Amino acid sequence: MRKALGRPSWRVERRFDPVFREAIVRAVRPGFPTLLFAPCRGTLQKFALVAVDCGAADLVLGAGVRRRELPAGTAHFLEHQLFEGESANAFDFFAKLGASANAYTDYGETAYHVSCVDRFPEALAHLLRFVRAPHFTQDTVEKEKGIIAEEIRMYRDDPDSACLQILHEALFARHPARLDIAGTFASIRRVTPATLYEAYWAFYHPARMVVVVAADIPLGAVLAILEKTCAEAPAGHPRPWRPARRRSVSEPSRVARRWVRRHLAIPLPKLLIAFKEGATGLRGVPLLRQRFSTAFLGDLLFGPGSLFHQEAAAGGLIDEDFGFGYQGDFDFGYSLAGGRTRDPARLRAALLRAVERAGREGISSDDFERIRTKMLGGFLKTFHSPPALGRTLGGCHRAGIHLFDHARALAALKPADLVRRLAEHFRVDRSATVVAGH
Amino acid sequence: MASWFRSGDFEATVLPNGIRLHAVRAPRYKTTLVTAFARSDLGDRAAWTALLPFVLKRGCRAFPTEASLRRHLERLCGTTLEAGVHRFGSHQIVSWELEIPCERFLPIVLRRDFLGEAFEVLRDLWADPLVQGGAFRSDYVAREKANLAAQIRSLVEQKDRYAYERCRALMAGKTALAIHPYGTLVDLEMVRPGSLWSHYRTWLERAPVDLYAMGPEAPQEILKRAMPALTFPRRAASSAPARPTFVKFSGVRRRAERARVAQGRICLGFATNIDPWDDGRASDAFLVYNGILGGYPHSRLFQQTREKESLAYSISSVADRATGWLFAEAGVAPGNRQKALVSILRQVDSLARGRIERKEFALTVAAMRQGLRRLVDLRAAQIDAHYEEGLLGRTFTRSAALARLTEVTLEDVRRVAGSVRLAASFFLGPA
Repeated sequence: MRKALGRPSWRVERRFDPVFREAIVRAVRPGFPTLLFAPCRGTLQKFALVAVDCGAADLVLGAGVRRRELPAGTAHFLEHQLFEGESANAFDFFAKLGASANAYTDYGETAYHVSCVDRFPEALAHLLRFVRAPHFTQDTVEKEKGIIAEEIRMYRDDPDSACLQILHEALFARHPARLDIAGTFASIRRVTPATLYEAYWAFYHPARMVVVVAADIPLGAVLAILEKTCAEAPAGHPRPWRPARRRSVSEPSRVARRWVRRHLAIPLPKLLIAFKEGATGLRGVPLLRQRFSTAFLGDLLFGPGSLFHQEAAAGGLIDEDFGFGYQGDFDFGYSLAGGRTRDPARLRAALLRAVERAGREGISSDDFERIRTKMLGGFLKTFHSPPALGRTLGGCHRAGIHLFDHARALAALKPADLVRRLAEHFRVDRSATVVAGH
Repeated sequence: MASWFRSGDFEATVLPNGIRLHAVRAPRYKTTLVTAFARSDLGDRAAWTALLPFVLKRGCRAFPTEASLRRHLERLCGTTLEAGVHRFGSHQIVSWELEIPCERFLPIVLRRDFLGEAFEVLRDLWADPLVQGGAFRSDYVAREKANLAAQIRSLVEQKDRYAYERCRALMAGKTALAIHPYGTLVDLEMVRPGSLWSHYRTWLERAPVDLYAMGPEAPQEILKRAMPALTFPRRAASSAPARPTFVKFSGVRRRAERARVAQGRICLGFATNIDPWDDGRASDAFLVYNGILGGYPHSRLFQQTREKESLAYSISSVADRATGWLFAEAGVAPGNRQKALVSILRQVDSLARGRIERKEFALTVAAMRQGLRRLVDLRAAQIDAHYEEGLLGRTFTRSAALARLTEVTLEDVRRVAGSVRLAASFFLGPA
C-alpha cells in the first residue's frame, strides 16, 4: 500500500506490509538527506543512523588533470576525526544523554549511529549536527594516528581479519577493496587536516547521505529535527558545493591470484575459497534477485543441512568455525566459504565437489522448499531489534531495494534462477583460495 | 494443573522432572526465544561436560546426523538452535537456545505447531541420544573431541580473550575459578564413548535445568506445548546454587608470554572487597565503579589512555559480578607497554584516592540506567540477567535493578574504589 502524507516540504511515501504488520516511511526533500523511518511501535530502544556514501574504496577525487588520490584509510580516519568537535568530543554529549554512539567504515560507506531509550530527539539532533560539523586540527589528527595504528595492529593480529585481507588481495587486481579499510602505517602518516577537509566536502554532501530512524516516536518529530539541523549547509562549505561523482573502478572479472599460501601463527590452518562476482553494478529488484539466489545457493551448497556439511563434519574437515556468505557493494562482490580445518586441500576439494554436484544434479524441489521456508521464517525477526532493523534499512537504501520487496522476490524465485546463478557465479576459474597457517 | 509463581519479571513453574520453566509474554515479537541452561560445578570433568552439547546434537535417535536435525529445523520455518558452554563464577553452564517462528505470522500452508515441535527436538536431544552398547557412538565422540581440542588450542587466536583468560587464571590460582568452560586438553584426552555416556547420565540427573521462554505466547500456552515433550523421567535436582569460591590475594601475580603478534595485549586483574552474594548497594556501586573506570567512551581509560595519550585503540574494563573481580584490558604498541601500564594504574590510583567527579559518576549512572531500561527490548540479555542473578541467590527484575542503581551514592563508589587492588598482571607481547 502506498500513501502520500500531506506535508508540503517533504515528499513522504509510506508502505505498510500486512504480513509484518509494520510500516516503513521514506521522506525526501531537496537539500536534505533522505530519511527512512520505521515506527517501531512498542519498543523502548530507539536507534538512528547516518550513512554516508564514502567508504574505504573512495580514494580518487576529480578527473583528468585535476585527478588526485587520497591516502588509503582516509574515510576511516575521517570517521574517527568527526567525533572531535570544535568545542567538545561528540561522545561527551551522547554520554550526558546516556546514549550509546559508535561508527563504522566499510568499503562503500561510513555510518554513524546512536541508540538510547530516553532523550532520543536530542541524541538524533546531536548525531546530525556532529556529522555535519567537520573540525580537524593538526593536533587532533596527529593524536589520532597513534590510535589508528593500534587499530591496524589489532586487526593484523586477528587471524580471521588477516585471512580476509589476504583474500581481498587475491581477488582484486585494481579495486581498492584489496586495501585495508584503515589503511597502512605509511598511508595514515600522510593524512593531514587538509586531506580530511577535502574528502569531507567531496563526499559528505546531503545527496550522498541517508538518515535512518527506527524508533517509536512520531514521524513529525523526526522531520522537525531534520529541518532544524540540516536546513543550512555546514559552515565552511565550498561554493558551489557539489557532491563527488560515484567512483568507477574497472576491475577485471578474473581474480588477481588463484592461490595464496601465507604463514600465520595459528594452531590449525584456515582455508577460504571465494567466487568473484562477475555481474556487478546492479541495483533494485535485479540486485535483490541476485542476492537472494546467491544466499539461497550458499545455504543449499554449504549450509548446515547440506550434504557437503554432513560429509565434511563427519570427515573432520570442518568444525564450528566453518562459515559461508556473500560480501560486496555495487562495484565488487564475492561469495565466500571456509574456516579452520586440519586438511585445507581436502576441504577445498569437498567445497568444489558440492558446487559441481549441484551443477550436475540440479536442485531438488525438496531442498528448494526447505531453504525457502527457512528464509521466510527468518524475515519474522526483521522488526525485533531497532538497531538491526536500522542497519538493514540503511543497506536496502544503498542497494536501491525496499525492505518489503524481499518476501515478494523470495516468492518469485524459481529453481531455474538458481541453476542459472550457479553457473554464472560459482565458477572455479573466478575463484581465489587462501590457505593460512604454519 | 501446574502452579505458577512470580520469579522477577517471569512467571515460573516446575515440571514434574524438576525442570524450572520461566516464561513471559512479549507480544511485540514474532518468534519465541527458548533458552535452556543446565549447570554443574567447574572441575576436572569440565572438558567432559563441555563435550556433551556437541555430541548430543551430532546425533540422536530421531535425527541420526546433525544435518538431518538441521534440515528438520529448517522446515520448522528456520527455527535456529545454538548450543554453547559458558562460565559464571565457578559454575559451568551448558546452554541451548532456540528461536522459533510464531506460526500465525506465516502463510497458512506453512503453519504447524513449531513451538511444540521445537520442544520435541529438545526432548529428542536430551532424552533419546544415539547410544550403542552403553556408549555414545564412538565416531561422534572422536570427532567432537577433535573439534573441542581444536577450539581449546585456538583460544590463543583471539588475543584480547586470551589475555583475559590468562590473567583470570593468574588471579584464580588453583581454584575452580581458573578453569576454562571448555576444560583442558589433558581432561579431554581421557574421554571415552562409554565413560562419557555414564558422565552424561549422572550430569542430566544432577544438573539443575532452567528453561526460559519469551515470545508472543502466554506462559500457560508455552507450558501446554512444552509439557508433552519435556516430561521425560529425571530426578528433580536441587536448584540452590552454592556460594562462590573465595580467593585470598597477596602481592601481584605477574606473567608475560611471547607470541608472533604485532600488538601487545595488557590485562590487569584487580581484587575488590565485593562479596558477590551481598545484596546491598556495594555490588551496584562496583558496577558503577567499573563504568567510571572503563565501561564507556566517557570513562577514564578511554578518555585518558586512548584519547589524550593516544596509547591504545581498544581499551576497557570489565566487572565480573560472579567473583567481584575487575579486569582492565588494552592493546598497545609493544614499545608503549610501560607507558600504558602507568597510565591505567594512574587512573585506578586516582579513583582509589576518591578523586571521582560528580560528572563522571552521573554520566555512568545515566548510561547504566539506559542499559537497564533497554533490556526490555533485548530478550536474550533479559534472560541471562535473570538466570545469573539467580546464581547469586537473587531474583532479578528491571524495576528493582533500576531502583537500586538510583540509591548508589558517590560515597558508595569511593568505598569500592578504595578497596580495588592490583592482583594480577598479564602481558602478551611479540617474540
